[in-house]
Amino acid sequence: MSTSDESLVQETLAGRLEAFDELMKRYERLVFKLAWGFARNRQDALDLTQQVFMKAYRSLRSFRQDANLKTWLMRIAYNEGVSWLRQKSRAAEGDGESLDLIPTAGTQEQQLLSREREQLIERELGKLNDRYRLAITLRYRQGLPIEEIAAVLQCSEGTTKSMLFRGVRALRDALAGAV
Amino acid sequence: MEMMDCRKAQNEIDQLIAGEIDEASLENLDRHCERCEECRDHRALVEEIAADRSPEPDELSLAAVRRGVMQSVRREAGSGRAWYRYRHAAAIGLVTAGAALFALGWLAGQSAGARTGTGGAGGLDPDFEFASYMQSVARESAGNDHVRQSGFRYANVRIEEGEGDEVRLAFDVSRHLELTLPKQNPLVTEVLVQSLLDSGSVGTKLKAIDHAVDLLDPRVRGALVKAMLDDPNLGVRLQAQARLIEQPGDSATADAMLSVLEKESSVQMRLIAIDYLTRSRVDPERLRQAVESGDPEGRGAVRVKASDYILQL
Repeated sequence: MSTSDESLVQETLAGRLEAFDELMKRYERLVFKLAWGFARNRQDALDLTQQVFMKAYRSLRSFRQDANLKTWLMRIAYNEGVSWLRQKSRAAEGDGESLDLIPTAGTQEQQLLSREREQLIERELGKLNDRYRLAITLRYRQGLPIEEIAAVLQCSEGTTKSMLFRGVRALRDALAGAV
Repeated sequence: MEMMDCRKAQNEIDQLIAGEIDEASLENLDRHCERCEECRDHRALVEEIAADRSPEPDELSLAAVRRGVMQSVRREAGSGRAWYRYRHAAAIGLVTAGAALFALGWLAGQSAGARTGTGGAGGLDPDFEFASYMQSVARESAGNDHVRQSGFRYANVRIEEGEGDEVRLAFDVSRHLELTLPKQNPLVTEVLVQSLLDSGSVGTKLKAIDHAVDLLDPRVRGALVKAMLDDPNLGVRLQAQARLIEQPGDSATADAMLSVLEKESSVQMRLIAIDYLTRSRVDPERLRQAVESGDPEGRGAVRVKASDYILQL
């Protein structure tokens, strides 16, 4: 029988650090998916995942034993992701760098059109309200269940569904206006 | 009534993307989308968003993340608890380590400066003899019991008893170097190729692809093909493909482009592969088979692109 999350937290706090390694193994893929939703590239998502677990370790004493560790971790990932995006955006403004991660790759007309479309979607998605954008990314790109997205965004499943619907509609309107 | 249908349809589009829809509901959804432009557009956009899914992280990368966290965690836990208990010993240790590092820095500076010229822009000394350099470092370090670090990193170490007072060592050794070299230098090619094959950052791989000069070198082409087919990052795969199509076709690259048609999920890359393959006059039947065995997502566009060439021959 596997040890419960609560026991692993207690063991970590008591100084058995291998218990924290075990906790990471349980939730690293989930945290990576959340991180990828913000970072949109593998290396940054891995860095952000590491940052999230460090933050979790440092805050472990504040974790309430009656709370759900998975949800708690996801909240940390969400908060870290939001501040990571802000820092990234400030840095990009500072040095004039574009956040566009897709490189130029040839001159074929189809390729350019397709690339332009991907970038347009990415740009308009980036302009959406944080919560809409995250709901869409987590659901349609990371495949997270509605219930887990609701836990991250701290709202009901109904509200999450509604955010998805409204977010896609807002994105569609924005894309129509951008063409 | 239509309003209710649309709400349900959009809920089902959500389930479709999550892979939670059953066949009957999918048929209903298809029928609804045929007559409802609003839902058709909604579905198309959601499918476009979903086409750009996150990659699954590989075990090695996750293990590296865990290792990094655990190192910091152990350091923090150690500094929090052990510092007070061992504060006197720690102070002595710090002084010893500082002295050792100073001695090591002096030794490395003497040896490296004399034999490699790594500090300047001159590059590797062609007469550089690694083994004798290592021996000199070992000789100069002899008797320095406190040296715990050196200018080299050793891994995969095997130690066996030798004859008499000898010991047999086998190990991998690495050292950080900063060099400025012409792009055509073989070492540059070697480093670029290796960096494409390892699990380094996306930024490094993109730079390696950009700086690859000799695209006719089979090792460079091999590394680009591997990056195009296997790299988890779409940007890297695209960039590798863009470099590969700069050169006239060869059969190995044509085979790789056929693999792109069969295995790649990006429609953009498949369309570029078709451009290359039609320019290379690949067998139309092979092209047709590769298109048909590819990802159903976006296959329509790929088929249209290939059809002229297939029909023409």
